Parts: sequence; C-alpha cells; structure tokens
Amino acid sequence: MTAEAEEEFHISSFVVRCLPERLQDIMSTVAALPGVEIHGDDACGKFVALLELDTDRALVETITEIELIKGVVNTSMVYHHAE
Amino acid sequence: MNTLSMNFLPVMLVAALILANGSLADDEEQNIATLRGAPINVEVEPPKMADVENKDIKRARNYPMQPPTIPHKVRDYRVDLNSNKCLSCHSRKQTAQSQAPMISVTHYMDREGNFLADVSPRRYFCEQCHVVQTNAPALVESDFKDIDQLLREAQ
Amino acid sequence: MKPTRRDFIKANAVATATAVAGFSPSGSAANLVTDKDLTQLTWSKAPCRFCGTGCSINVATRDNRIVATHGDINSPVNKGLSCVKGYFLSKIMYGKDRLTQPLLRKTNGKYDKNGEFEPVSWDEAFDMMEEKFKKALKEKGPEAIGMFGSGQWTIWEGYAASKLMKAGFRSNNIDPNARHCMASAVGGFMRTFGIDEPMGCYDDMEHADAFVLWGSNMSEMHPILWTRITDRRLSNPHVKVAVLSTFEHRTFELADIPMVFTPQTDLAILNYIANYIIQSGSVNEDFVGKHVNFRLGNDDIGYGLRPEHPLEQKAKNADKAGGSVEMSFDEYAKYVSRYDVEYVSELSGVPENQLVEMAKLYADPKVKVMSLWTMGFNQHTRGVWANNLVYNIHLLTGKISEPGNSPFSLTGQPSACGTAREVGTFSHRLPADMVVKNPEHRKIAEKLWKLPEGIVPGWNGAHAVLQNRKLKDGEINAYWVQVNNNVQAAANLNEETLPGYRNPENFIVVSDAYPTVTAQAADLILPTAMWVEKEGAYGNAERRTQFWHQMVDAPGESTSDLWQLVEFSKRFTTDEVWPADILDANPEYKGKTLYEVLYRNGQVDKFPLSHMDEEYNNTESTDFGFYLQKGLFEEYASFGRGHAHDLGDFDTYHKNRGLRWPVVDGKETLWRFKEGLDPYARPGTGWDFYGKPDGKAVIFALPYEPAAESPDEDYDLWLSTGRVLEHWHSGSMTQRVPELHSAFPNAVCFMHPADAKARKLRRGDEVMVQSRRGEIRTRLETRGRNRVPKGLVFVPWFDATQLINKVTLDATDPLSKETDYKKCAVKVIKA
Repeated sequence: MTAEAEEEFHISSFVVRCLPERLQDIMSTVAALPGVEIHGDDACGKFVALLELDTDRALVETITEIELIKGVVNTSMVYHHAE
Repeated sequence: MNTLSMNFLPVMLVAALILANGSLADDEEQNIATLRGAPINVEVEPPKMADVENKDIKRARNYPMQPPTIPHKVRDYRVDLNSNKCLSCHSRKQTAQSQAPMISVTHYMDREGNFLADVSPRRYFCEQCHVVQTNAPALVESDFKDIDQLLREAQ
Repeated sequence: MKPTRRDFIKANAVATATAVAGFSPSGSAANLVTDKDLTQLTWSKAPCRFCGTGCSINVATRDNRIVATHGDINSPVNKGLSCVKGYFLSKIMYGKDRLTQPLLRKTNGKYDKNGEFEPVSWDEAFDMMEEKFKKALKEKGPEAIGMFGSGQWTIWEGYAASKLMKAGFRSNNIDPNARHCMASAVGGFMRTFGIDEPMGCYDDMEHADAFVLWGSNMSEMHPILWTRITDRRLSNPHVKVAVLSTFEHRTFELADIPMVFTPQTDLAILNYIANYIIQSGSVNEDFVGKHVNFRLGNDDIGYGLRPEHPLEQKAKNADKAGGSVEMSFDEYAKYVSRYDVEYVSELSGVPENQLVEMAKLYADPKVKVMSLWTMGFNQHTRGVWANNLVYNIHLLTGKISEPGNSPFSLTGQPSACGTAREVGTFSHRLPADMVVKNPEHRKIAEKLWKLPEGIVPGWNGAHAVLQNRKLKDGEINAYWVQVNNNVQAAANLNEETLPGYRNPENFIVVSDAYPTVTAQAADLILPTAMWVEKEGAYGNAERRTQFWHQMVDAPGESTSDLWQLVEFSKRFTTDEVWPADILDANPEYKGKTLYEVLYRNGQVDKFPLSHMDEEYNNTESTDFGFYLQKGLFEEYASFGRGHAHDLGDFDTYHKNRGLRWPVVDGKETLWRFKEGLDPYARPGTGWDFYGKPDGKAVIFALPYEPAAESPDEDYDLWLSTGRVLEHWHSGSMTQRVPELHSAFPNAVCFMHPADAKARKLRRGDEVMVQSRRGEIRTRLETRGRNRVPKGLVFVPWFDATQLINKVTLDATDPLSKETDYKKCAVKVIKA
C-alpha cells in the first residue's frame, strides 16, 4: 500500500470520436501507443481509451498524439485520477 | 433515561439536566441526538474558533473523484481578477519549483472537453471545490463506507 | 489475484467513459480486473440535492449503498463540475443519527405533549395523526389544519400533498418553505409578465457582455453557475462584472465594478438606472411602444407584520398593497427623475462614478446584459418591487428574451421552481400559475382531478409566516411539516415559532431524515427517505425538469414523504371531510376514502408496475400496486400542456439530462416570449408577453421606502443573515458530512475590525448578538471571506447551536409574504 502510494500515476479515460470509416485503423493506431488500452466501440465512430501513465506530461502528450491522428474528430476526457 | 430509544428529551427535563451536569453536548448517555445538543430556548457557550490544519500532509480521499481537501492554511490567499495565489504553487509551470501537487489535468479542459494551453477559467476559483479542514471534531459520526471498505467486506 | 485499488480506479474510468459514450464495455474490459463482479459499480444520474442550479450528478452505488458521486459530464448545466457540497453528496445520507422509526412523545405509554420521544409503529403514529387531524377538522374545520412543505419536495410529492390538502381536506393552509426564498420572485414575474419563471436560461451566461449581480453571492451560493460566468469573464476581456451587495464577499473577487450599498437602497439604485436610461436617450422606443404598459403602483404598503403592529397601523396601503393605476411614459419619466446620481449616491453610499459606469452597461444598446439576483432581492420587505424594478430596466432597453440579454432570477432550492411554483404548493396557488381565488381556475382543477365542483376552497390559505402566527394563536391545531427545518429557518423564533409548536392545543408532525431542531420541537416524528432513496423529479432555475431513480433503499422503517401522504389519505372518507351538499349532489363519491378519490381515480393509477425500469426499486409503487410517480406526473402535466407550461413525456426524462419547458413537440424552449425562439410567441409580434391579455409587459413606478427596522441608538448595527459555501440551508445534511463540517464548523459573527475595536472586542471572543426579540451566543470574526462594512454584521444560519433566527424580525413583503432576513437592528456585546 505504501509503495503504491509513493509512486505517481495517472489513470484517465476518454471517449474518442472519429470518422466511422476510419474507426478500425484509428483504434489499432491508438492501441499501439504506450499506456493505452481500448475498451468498447460502436459503429458510429466512437471508442473508449483508457490511459495509464506515470506523469501528467505523458498524459497530455498522448492525448495530443491521439488528437493528431487523421480522422479523429475529437477526444473528450471523462475521468482522471492522479496519485 | 438510558434506553437508546429516546432521541429527545422534553425541554424542561433537559434544562434540569444542564443545571445538574453542566453540559450535555459531549455526553452520549444523555441521548440528545440533535446537533444542537441543548434545548431550543437555552443558549450554550459556542466552541472556541477552530484552527485550520496546517500540516501539509495529503489526506486520503473518500472516492477517486473527490477534490482533495487543502492541507494547509490559505488565510489571505488572494484569488481575484488580477492574481491567483493557489496557482502560484499548484499550476503545471510552478510545480517543479514548489514541489506542490499539480492540479488535475481535467482543470485544463473547457466546457466542451477541449484541452487548453492553461488552466480553464471555469476552474479559476479553487475554493469552490477545495476547502481547508480544521481541528473541529465531527458532530456526528458518518456511516459512509468507501470503495476500499466495501471491497474488503466483499472478499 | 485480488483486485487492487488501481484496478478498481481503472474499472471506474472505463465504466464512466462507456456510460458517457452510450455503450457497454467490450469483452476486452474483462482483462482489466481479475474479478469484474467485485469492482463493478452501478452509475446513475440524479440532480444535486442542494441548490436551485440543478447540476446533474453521477451516483455510483454498490450493495445498496452510495460509494461515489461526481459531476455529470453529459449535463449541459455543469459539464462535469460540481461544488464542494456536490462532491460530498455521497455522504449526506450516512449520518449515524438517521431516524429509522416513528417517534411519539409519551408519558406512561400514552401520548403526552410534554412526554419523551418513544419509538412507535407506523400504525400507532398514523392512528395518533388521524385522531388529531380529525379532531381539528371536526371541531374547527379545514382552517384548523395546516401543512408546511418545501421546494425540496419532489414534483410528485408536492403535487400529492397539494391535492391531499386542497382537494382532500379542503384546506388551502399549505405552503412551502419556498415562501422564505422565491415568493418575491414569483410576485415579480406575475406582476410584470403575468406568468412565472425566467424567460432566459443558463446559456445566457455564454452570450452576455456584462453581468450585474443584485444581492447574490453566486461564488458561494451558486458556485457552478459562477464557474460559467468566471469562464466568460476571464476568456473575454471585454466582459464586465458588476457586483452589488451590503457587504463584500467572495463574489467581489471577480468584480470590475464592486459596490457596497446601504441596506434597502437597492430600490433607489434601480430607479436611478431607469432614470439614467431615460435621461441619456437610451430608451428602446420601438420596443417600449409595442410591448410595454406603464403603471403606478401603490406605495406605503406596510411591512407584513401582525396587523396590530404600529408600522401596519401607520401604513396607508397595507390592505391594498398590490394596487396600481395606469400611467404614461412621460409620467413615469417624471416619477423616476428624482432618482438622480447625486441623491442616490448619497443615499446608498455608492460612489457616483460607479453608479454611472454600471448604468452605462444597461444603456449601451451594444452591450448584452444579464442581471442576476437571489435572496438580496427576494428576502426584502419590498422584494416584489425590487424584482419589478429590475425588469423595468430590461424592458426600457428591450434587453430581454434573447441570448445574453436576460434578467435572471436565481433559485435557492433544487425544486423551488419545479415543485413549489410549477405545481403550485403555495397557499394561494394551483398548478400552472392558476390561483385558488379564481373560480374558473378552481373549476379547471376540479375537472382535471375528476372531483365534484366546489371541492377546492376559494380562500387564500395561510402562508408560512401566518402559519406560525396561527399556531401560536391556537387557530391551526394539527400541523404537518415535511422536508424542511422551519424552527431553524423561520424568523423571530422566540416570539412566533416556538410558542406555536409547543402550544398545548397543537399537534405537530415532522417528517425528516435527521433529528433537526424542528423535530426536537415536534410531537410526532416520521423517519423519512431522502434524495436517491426514492424516485424523484426536480425543476431548476432555468425551467429544466430532471428525474432520477430510486438507487438505494431508505434505512430502517423510513418511508418517503410521498408514501406518507398517500398512505395517510386512506384513513379519511369523503363523508368525514366533504360537505353533505356536495356529496348529495354527487352521490358516487359517498363513502369513498380520500385515497380512492384522489389517487385511485383512473388517472394516477393508470400505469402498471410493468412500466417501471426493472433495474431500479420503487418502494412506493410496489406497495400501492401501480406506477404512482408516473401517474401523478402525467395527471399534473395535463394542467400545463397547451397552456405554455408544457412538460415532456414522463419516460423521456429518465433518459435525458432534463428539458426546459415549455416542451412542445418534444423540443425544449430556451428563450421565452421571443418570436422564433418560443413556440407560444405569436407570429408578427417580435416579442409576445403572452402572460398578459394584451401581450404587453408592465413597467411599474415604485419608490424607495425605508426598511422595517433600522439601526438606532439602542441597537446600532444592521444584521444580515445568509449561507456559506460549505453548508446548505439549516445544515441538517451538510453538517453531517465530516469534511464539510470541518471546513466551516460553526456560525460566527462577521464584523468590521473598527467596529470590533470600538467595542473592545477581538477575533474569537464570545459575543452576544441581541435584538429586541432575542439573542444568540457566538464568536466574533473580523477577517475571512466576508468583509462587512462598518455598521453591519453578518451571521450565517446553518448552525443549529446558534439559532440566529431568534434575533431576526418576521417582517415580510406585504405582496409576496416573504420574510426579510437581510435587515434588522442588533447590538453586539461581549458575552
């Protein structure tokens, strides 16, 4: 417990909206990013990305990277927890 | 008198008890369950003004989404149109120097969930969500169980 | 492997995001934790339990308990935020002293008003209530019973209560604590526009160029709306914020034009702005010509005290406070011309340059202005006037009913609008803005309720303050209080409130979740479910109706207010409470219980249990055997549909984050009265104030008049009371959250350091705050969040150990009957 409390970590979840025809491509690109898991998607072009990273800087950088992928319309953070 | 069933005592009786016992507020056996702890028509001495806890030790949260409480004094902290004293330690730019915890990344998002270059103005007044804690004891125990407690009980 | 805390947080993150996205997690989520069942939470939505903002909250439950709450990212109101109280909603239901059994005062096993509280069964509790209510009805008639409810009742609770009292018991002695809060706002709307509630909505905050706060500390009292104004101000440098108050508070932190005025002089400042607009040639003549009438209101209307009070004896128009006569624009211009900047600056203490700067914001046709107010205007012996006067300014300039131009009345309670006002639980009202005094309105209500003609009485019932006076005078003898703490909340506790509750002739029932001081003063206490322990609906300040499901069960034997009301109705038959002539003319109603005629009328019991969402419990419906909440809502909604108060279909509200009425063809209305934005505004009108027969709003000429009580030699300070951010109203919920209590543990008396020094007092000293009516012991605070001017003290009222309403005066606005909690005369001495 103490060891875990000492270490900084950030857990955050996002809804990523993208062009439906690009959904599968984008999901595989995103899934390849370090610290990212994909959870659930629908045919309309939405999926959930779970980010688990050590620093807030890495978090923001990863989000920016996702946003820059061609076909991504927007990302919206739903949840963020840092310790 | 000592049955747990009686939550309130009639005003006259309580007044008599106060005379006998001095104070009722901290005596569980008296079964005065209101936060007032005294008859409505009797004025009791107000507790001394509580001191703000100033230990700079992070407190556990009840659930992950709870805004952390402030573990230090904020007296005379200026937060207005011109400056924000809280951000002078807790903003991303300042944390390397101050070693204070950085405000959550959510604070950099606008109403629509877009990321901004700096703290979102909607989060500007820190004390709307983050409050200090004092040494005043709780008036009533809380039966709230946090997630960890429920997880433990489930296992 | 056991799931770790980190797994748990990850599962939460995914669950929340998938809920937002609107789909369930894929199989891959199962990889995340070893035992999904262990970490799974149920997330549901509910409006916040506290103020009238109506933030939507995501509530996580597990094993019949709430484990977490946070701001709902899908809600247009709060977009993921909530204030510190909202973040701690998880804990409000878990104070260890929750009431779980009915308690009756007894001696030797029998009811005794001077006895001690003992637990009794629900049957025994209702037996006693039945006996006392029947006795009062039989001996003195419907005027001898009363009910005091709340803007915290859910919509269907208020509706069921109003129906039980007004149609069942034929007594209009039912009033909500919204009387202390929003009655002046209602009076202002009805008088100026002929229809209640704001024309604009919160979206105005993203459109306005200037905000003027008239007696509203939004930073602490409506924090989430304040985040929207802060966002607008800090993101757009051209935006200006003007803040007016009788003392400096946190809202001043954002003020470009900060103004502290002498209590009561807001009336003069309002008239000064109207005068400035006229003198500077800034009147929107086209708008005024087409959409406005002018009237001269009666002045010298008294202070709503007991009729024998010298101030009432002296007042010229105490008995015709609402009267007015037509006048012309020129006459109105002449009337306000005396309010020039020199006079008003001297009277109010606000520097001339600040008055001019603020007036220019209103006068400039290019600046979109939003005016906001709460208790500073409403809790005012001229509260309706203050509301009328601010509308004057917006009407003179035509700055109304369009994005950013918006006079906006903020609301104190979560359903003051939805329940107290829209349902019409006030002593003079019926649903959809109808009133009991109007025979046509009564007929409409009787028809929709499927009740015989003549059942709803035509007399105005006793309002909140009058109820306390009648309890004291022994005129109301059986009394039921639900969802509020009026012994702590009502003014002049010693002289008016407590004598009534403890009057040996009276039987007082209090339904509450916690042992409040009102429960302490009662004879019977009914343990009551709260918030998400029942299915509910609230209506917020921007006309948004929001629903929630029952997420957890209430503890012990607690039941909801709704269950109590409907169950109690079974104990009365029409023959016992309705006049023989009405029953003779309508024999089909003879021998029926009130339950049968009010709630089993083919409408309220129309929807079967199969209509309920099977994911959630619904204790009341299961007990009565039909979907009670849906039946009540649909019957109630029939009052407003087609009459500019249209509510949407019941089931849709469980799916969305609320809709702003009128909801026409499934679409909500953001701005009312503006052609093209409001489906009720007639084509070709431009603006259509359809609440008035000629479609025109009214500008009222009304003067500055002094307060009921001002400081003098003996009592040399103004007292203002109010709230603090961390606590809500009487603190019965927030004081039981350890973090909120710890953050602001006790009430204090805020005083200017110079005033303290003159009295040889120091911060932290124990002091007595005394008025002609009572005193409290408290501690002196000379710094902190409120910086009061010399000559004024501020004491918050959340603290049950320091009942500041022993000190306040029960003077009310003669029009709205709302108490002025912001002004009376006190002295402060060392205890």
